[in-house]
Amino acid sequence: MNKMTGSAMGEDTRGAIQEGIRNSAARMLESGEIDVFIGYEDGTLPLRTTPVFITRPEDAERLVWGPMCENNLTCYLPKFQGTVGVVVKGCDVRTLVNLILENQISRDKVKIVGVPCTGIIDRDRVGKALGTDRIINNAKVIERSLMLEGDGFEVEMEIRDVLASSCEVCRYPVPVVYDVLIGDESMAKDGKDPEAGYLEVEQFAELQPDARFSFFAQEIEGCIQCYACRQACPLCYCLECFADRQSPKWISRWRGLSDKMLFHLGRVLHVAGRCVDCGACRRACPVGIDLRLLTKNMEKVVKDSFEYESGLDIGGLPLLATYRREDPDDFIL
Amino acid sequence: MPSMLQDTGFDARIGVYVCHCGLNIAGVVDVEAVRESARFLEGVVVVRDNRYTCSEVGQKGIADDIKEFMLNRVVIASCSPRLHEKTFRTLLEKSGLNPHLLEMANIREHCSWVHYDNHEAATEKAKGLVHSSVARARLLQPLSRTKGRVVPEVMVVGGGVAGISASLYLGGMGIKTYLVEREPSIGGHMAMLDKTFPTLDCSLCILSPKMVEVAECENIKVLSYSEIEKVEGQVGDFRVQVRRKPRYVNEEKCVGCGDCVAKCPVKVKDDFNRNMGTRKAIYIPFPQAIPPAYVIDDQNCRYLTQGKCKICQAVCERGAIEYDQTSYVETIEVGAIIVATGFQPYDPRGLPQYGYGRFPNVITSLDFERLICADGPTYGKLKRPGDSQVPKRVAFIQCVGSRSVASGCRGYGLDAETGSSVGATDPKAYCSRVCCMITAKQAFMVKEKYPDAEVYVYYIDMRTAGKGFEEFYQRGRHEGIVFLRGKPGEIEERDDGCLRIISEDLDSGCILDLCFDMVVLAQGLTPPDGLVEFAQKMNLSRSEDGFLMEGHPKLRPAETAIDGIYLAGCVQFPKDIPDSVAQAGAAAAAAAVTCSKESIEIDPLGPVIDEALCIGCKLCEMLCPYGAIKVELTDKGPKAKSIEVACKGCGVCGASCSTRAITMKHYTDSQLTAQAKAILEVV
Repeated sequence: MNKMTGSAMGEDTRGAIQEGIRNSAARMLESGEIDVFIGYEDGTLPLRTTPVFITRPEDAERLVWGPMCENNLTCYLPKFQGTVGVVVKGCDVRTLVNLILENQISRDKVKIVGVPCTGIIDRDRVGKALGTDRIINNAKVIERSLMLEGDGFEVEMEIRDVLASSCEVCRYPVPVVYDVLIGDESMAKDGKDPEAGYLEVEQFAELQPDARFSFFAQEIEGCIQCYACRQACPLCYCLECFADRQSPKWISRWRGLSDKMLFHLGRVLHVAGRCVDCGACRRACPVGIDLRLLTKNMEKVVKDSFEYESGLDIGGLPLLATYRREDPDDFIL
Repeated sequence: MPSMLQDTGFDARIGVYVCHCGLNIAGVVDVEAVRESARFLEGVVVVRDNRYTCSEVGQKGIADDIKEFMLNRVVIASCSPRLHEKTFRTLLEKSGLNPHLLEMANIREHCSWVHYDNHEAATEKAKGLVHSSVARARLLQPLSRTKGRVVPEVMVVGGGVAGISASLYLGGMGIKTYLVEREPSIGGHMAMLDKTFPTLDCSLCILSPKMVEVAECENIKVLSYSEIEKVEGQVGDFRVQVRRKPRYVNEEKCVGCGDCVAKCPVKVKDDFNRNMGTRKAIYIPFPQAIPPAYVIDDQNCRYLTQGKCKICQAVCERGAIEYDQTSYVETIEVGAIIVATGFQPYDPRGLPQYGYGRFPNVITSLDFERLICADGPTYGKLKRPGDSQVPKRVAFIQCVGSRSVASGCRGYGLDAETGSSVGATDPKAYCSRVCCMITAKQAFMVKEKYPDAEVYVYYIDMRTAGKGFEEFYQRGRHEGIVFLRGKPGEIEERDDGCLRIISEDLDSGCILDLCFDMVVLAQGLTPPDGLVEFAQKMNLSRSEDGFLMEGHPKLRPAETAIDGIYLAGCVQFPKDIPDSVAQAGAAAAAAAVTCSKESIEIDPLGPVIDEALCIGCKLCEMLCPYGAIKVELTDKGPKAKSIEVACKGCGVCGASCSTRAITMKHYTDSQLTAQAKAILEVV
């Protein structure tokens, strides 16, 4: 089975970025600036990459870059003692800023290799466009399109048609903080419509309460309480989640609707003013619940109420640690 | 009693006492029904109702039950715990139980008083409150108190008559007292007054002996020209950072000879004389100032602004001039703080219809004090500012900036829309209490000095409640002062500088059209400049009117909600000199009570931090208003640590902890969820 490899990208811009990442990683490891470099390498299946932890400069060749580099690698950072180099996209670096503000990482212990992001692929969308019964054996990224090969078919699709929903409305594709920036900032703007960001949430808010509730109930009904959304979220790093507490037992695992609802509402409250809409929870959900509808709405509430956008100001304070007299309090009474 | 049993609540033996509070509760709530509904709740062994649970009979009944039924938890359904929690905790302690095994259900303020019109629903709610208290009581745990040290010294903030009086009381008791004053001299507004009502004593003649006494008292240290920067700590053990502004004159060396003033080439407007006269850039606010040392106004001094001059240094024989002084912060430890920062007179430019600031002959009552004062810019001759003529017809207008609900203004110290502090120009809803008597006094003084002058007073109501006040007011009427009921809508200035007032005389119903040479606006009293920020530094609350909130409007008028911080004078609400002095005495007594203790018992209401759950995110540290929780690096990573003596048990850390690693000792999650469940079962 052919995988999509770095060399397959040839001399296009993505290939140049890949080279840049490899060179940076090798250089930083050689100079001893960092103890480990976290990036992506090819996965075992087409359209997949997997996180890789490089400690020797010669292994930097394993690093790849492309629209399937979906994982938010910053979630590994709090686990390392030494200095770490890490590849980040626009959304990843905002979670990194939050981790720094929340005292989980020290800024001087991380070397940030930023890449202006053109968006990542949503494999569900690829599958839907292709037909779910067709198995992909080989995938290639050529400039702005995706070449998919399988038994008896060869299909080309535009990447912009299969972008992850969070990428379509991304406002900060270029990392707001970095030590090294690899690539051209201008290309990151391509194919995105940030204005449409809250369209879905606003349309949903216009429905009658009954309709909203039944939609919510229907979506959440499918939840199997695997908590993959929580595990994937780079900002869900509690040592023991409220959902796992035994005393008091907030959530039961008998999978009743109210427990599932409480878990998801609790989770969205716990990421209020922190979530950066990286889409990790949405990608991780094995039953395809549109968790972004909840988090995006919370992001809008935070923005409208407190003029706060998470993860942009490395010198600022977390939202919940700030108070201004003009903060709205009409929701209390 | 084995503590294991107390801890788990498995063997809770609860006594429930439902109070009638006379008819306060029993008049609305069916007390017997509430009592019976609690009888068979888990863990309850005895239920009773009392006419007055707080009475000696009521208390003895509980003490007897604790012995007879071997109670280990007590639930009292009565009034707010703010009133009697201490009473009943002491009772439990005397009966051999840990005082924190008490739970109170507030069925008076939270129930009978607010639901007086629906007896049945109130009874059901009372049952819910009692059941929830029983549920929480089962899970209560014995807690032990810790002790904090007491620094037997006091800081008084504000050197007006209230601050001076409080300092003298404390100094007289042998308590070391720091008197902090923002201005170069103590004295406050009282030092600016000419005479005081109703006795017409010369204001400085009675104040300056007290000021001298302050300077001479070895227990009082005056920190003039200084401001509070930061307050940390708690009752018994405050650390106050005081910013000392540079005088540029050595207080110890200066003897106040005045040679420097004579030679100083810079003349500026004199703020002590309400900008009506001039002073030099090196000055003393008034001759009786304490400390009796000169000060250089660094905004206007030629040397300090332009680098050339130094004349004062050349003429000062004692070498007291020190241009190189800089501001610095001094940290002072005290056990109690008295706040006596006074008031700010209302600025009538907020009511443009009266023309203050535009018409030179419209002045305020404080301007009048300086004009009539022998030490003022006119040496006591009442000359109107426009042309220095002595006015023949003078009008006073009452309630300028006070009682102004009609003009659409709130009494709030905060602007509801912007949240910013409202300036002194916004009219207030409240009555400033002293302006009627100030005007009665000033009108009398005009008549006294110029018997032929015509004096008119426009008023809404004359409020003369005070010893000798009504008699003084009547005396003014007999002297020929004309009191007209009706507040003028506006003042017009004629070409000759005279002021025309058209108003309705509400007593006769006539429209009056009168002209005056001078109009005095009886300005109200507003919260002092910078009180919003000051209150934030001290964690003090303000009431709707913007002044500082007392501990209880009737029973704790000189205290605040913060233990160890007390109030004196107009910072709490406008009041006259005798009331300010009386409150200063009360505040001094309260502060002395704190200082007389060897140690302070600290309520064990703070957080318990589960290190296994703490992720060290610092949210608690960032939010704690008392600096009572800090994240420290341990071998298991960053972990929060509680600083018990600084903690006030507000619970912000517990509520904000996203990992629920913080539990409030006396309000655990289990206790609160049990309480919530129980109340929902009844409803």
